[in-house]
Amino acid sequence: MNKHDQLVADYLARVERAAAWLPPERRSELLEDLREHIAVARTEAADDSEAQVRTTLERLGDPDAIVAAAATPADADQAASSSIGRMAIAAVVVGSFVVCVLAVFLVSFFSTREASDGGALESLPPVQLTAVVE
Amino acid sequence: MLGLLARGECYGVELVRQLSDLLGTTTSEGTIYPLLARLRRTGRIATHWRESPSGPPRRYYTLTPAGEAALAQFKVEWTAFRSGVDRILETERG
Repeated sequence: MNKHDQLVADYLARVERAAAWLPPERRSELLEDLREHIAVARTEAADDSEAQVRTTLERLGDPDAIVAAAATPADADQAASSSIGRMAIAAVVVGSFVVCVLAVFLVSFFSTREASDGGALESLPPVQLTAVVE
Repeated sequence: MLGLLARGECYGVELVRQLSDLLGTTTSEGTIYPLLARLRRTGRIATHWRESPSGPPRRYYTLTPAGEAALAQFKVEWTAFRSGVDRILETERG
């Protein structure tokens, strides 16, 4: 790999990093299109000097700008729905924690009451106890 | 883009060159590739590879019937929009 190829590889690596959030097939499609553009532009340029390669890359432009042009309204929807998804998961986790705590509290509350009810029954006078049995 | 391809099939570098010639220097030539990819996904353009006498094979872009229909629709909308703006700005051409 000569120095010019290294320049191209570095540029494409920057595009790849900027495009990390794109779906994989769209990311590789974009990289393939840019790789092809650079290869053709280098063949058609007056010479394959370092300055020429740099000019080709500069004209292609900032990797972030190129990747931004790849964003569709669907991507924005997806980003929004994934953040809603994260919020929903958080709500479920917090909600189930609250339910567990409540359940433990209620179970211990009622078992204490049952125990004291039993105690109350024992302390009833015998007549009343018979009435209860009847 | 569809309008350029209506003039005849082109490969990427050619399209970029024509855009620069017709619209002046484009700031970021690479941004046409996501656009071309979207047009391809929506079926408005098609691509095919062709060998070149010099250098690597080129991917040529052509208009599909759906692309031609979209272009015709855009021409109607653009003409209406332009004449509206012309009326507002009083820039109608004699």
